[in-house]
Amino acid sequence: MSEGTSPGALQFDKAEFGTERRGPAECGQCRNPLVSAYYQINGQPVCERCKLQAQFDQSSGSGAGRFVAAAVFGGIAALAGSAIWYAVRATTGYEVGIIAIAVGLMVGGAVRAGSKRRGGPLYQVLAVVLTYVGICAQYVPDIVKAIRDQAPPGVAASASPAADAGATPVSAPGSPAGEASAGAPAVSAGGLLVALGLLLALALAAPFLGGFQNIIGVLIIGFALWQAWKTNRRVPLEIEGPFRVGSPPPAPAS
Amino acid sequence: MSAPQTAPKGAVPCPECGSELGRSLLACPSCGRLVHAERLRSLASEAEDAAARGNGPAALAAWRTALELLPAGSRQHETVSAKVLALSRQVDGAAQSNVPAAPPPGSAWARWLAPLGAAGLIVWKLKFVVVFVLTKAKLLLLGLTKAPTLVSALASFGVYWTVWGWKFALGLVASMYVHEMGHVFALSRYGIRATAPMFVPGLGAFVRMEQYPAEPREDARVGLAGPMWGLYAAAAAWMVAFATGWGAWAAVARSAALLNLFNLIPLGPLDGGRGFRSLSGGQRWAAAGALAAAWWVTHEGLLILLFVAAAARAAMGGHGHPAGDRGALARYLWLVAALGALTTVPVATPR
Repeated sequence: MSEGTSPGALQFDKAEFGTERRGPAECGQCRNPLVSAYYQINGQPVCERCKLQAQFDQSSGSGAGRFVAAAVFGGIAALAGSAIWYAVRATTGYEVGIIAIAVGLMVGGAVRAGSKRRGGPLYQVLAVVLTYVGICAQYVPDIVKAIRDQAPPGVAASASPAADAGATPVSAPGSPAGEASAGAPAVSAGGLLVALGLLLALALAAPFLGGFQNIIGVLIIGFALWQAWKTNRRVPLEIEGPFRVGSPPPAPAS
Repeated sequence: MSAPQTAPKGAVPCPECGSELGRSLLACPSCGRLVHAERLRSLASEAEDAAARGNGPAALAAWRTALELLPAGSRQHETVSAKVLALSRQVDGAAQSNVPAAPPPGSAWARWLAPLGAAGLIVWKLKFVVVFVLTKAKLLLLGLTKAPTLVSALASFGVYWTVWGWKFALGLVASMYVHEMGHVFALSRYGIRATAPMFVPGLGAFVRMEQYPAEPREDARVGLAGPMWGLYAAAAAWMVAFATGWGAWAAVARSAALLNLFNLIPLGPLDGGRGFRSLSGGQRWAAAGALAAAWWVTHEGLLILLFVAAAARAAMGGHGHPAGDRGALARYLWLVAALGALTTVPVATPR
């Protein structure tokens, strides 16, 4: 390679920039030129203002508020992921395992955004739990359908999964008891809660009910949970500097 | 909570102006001296020697490594980027000229196949499968010498074996391997550094790129190379099933076709998503139309998912890539048609 200095020749001594750029090195955050001094945050060069901002972001805000935001964001992502997976399964007839990974990434990313990119064991556990719930929630419609298909004809007519799960029907105020037991049975709030709890427990256990034959499904869920866990690892803010820009100060005269 | 702030222990003084250089800087912030000047000169010399020998992939690999050592926005970065693009297009042109896309006019094959139209083209492509397997056999064997590939492939084989039996498991893992080697082949042609293929039991396999493609056209070629090789693997399995009547091979052919079709979903990092990057808005709609037509013919449910994703990408992607990419569109359409046809292979329960 010729290293001539004629105009247009490619030389590797000094970086050359057009007029739109103000210096040979710029802040990795705000893109301003690095003058007089700079820092490195996890290997990225930044100016002093951006370093102060990063330190402020790290120490500001309420922990409870961040956790609630992470839980809400993650919950919405889990619901969305579950709906997408169910829709794909219902449309194509295939249980596309890679969507579980997408659910893990979606929930992990949402928890990370809600936690202001803090990461750490608390958010990792939250992301894993929400991912698992999101993955298993797609089985709920199948479980409800299976229960309704297997229930006796009178009970199967009920629209409520609580009635299917065996809750004791009670009469609605002012209505004859015979009507309630023959038609759509009324359900107590407690019975409904128990039935919903059973439904959720069944959905959460669903991946393991297939035994060894579902080893691939369990592996896929494992990878999805690992993605959610990995996305919320705590990355410590490692700040190096200040690095001096320009020639060193002259040595004091003796 | 305050972050630990350390003294710049690893700082190196700039030989020219004395500024303290952090380990991530590529140029001195004061005088602009390139930190990796010596290495850059050596890479440039290596690239020019390779180009002089006509070894485009080696030249590309050297220039791509040089790009990583140059500050973005510098004139040197722009010049080397332009060299990469020019070389990449040369490589692409050479690849095109090596592919027997259709029988030459007047050849014996053409005389026999001309009256058969589309059926003739398929038979010609099947002949290409045989030639392809014979010419790429060396690469396919060399890929298995990488320990992470071999070990993870064996782990995947074990998992699939427990569920579906060894014959189907072997065919499935082999077809995934061929798919990944398609990516490896394309990446090496473009001089893009990447890891060896890794299998993830239950999920598939992947090759991780360690350098970014220079433009969407390159990304599309690399992305679609996997399904293209995967198609040949599926077609080979189908030919064996057709010749021998073995049900497991038919199951492998159909599963491989479905796997490769799934990878054509034009979303995110999937192969189809990368293939769509270089397509214009109109070309994306054309691909969506082809997917709808393929579903209408085959009634394969997976094609609905591909169509929805393609239509969404076409609708939300504005005008797409301004230049468009007829080569990527042709590859995508061919893959949809051929893989769609292979999904109709009748299959008995494997084992």
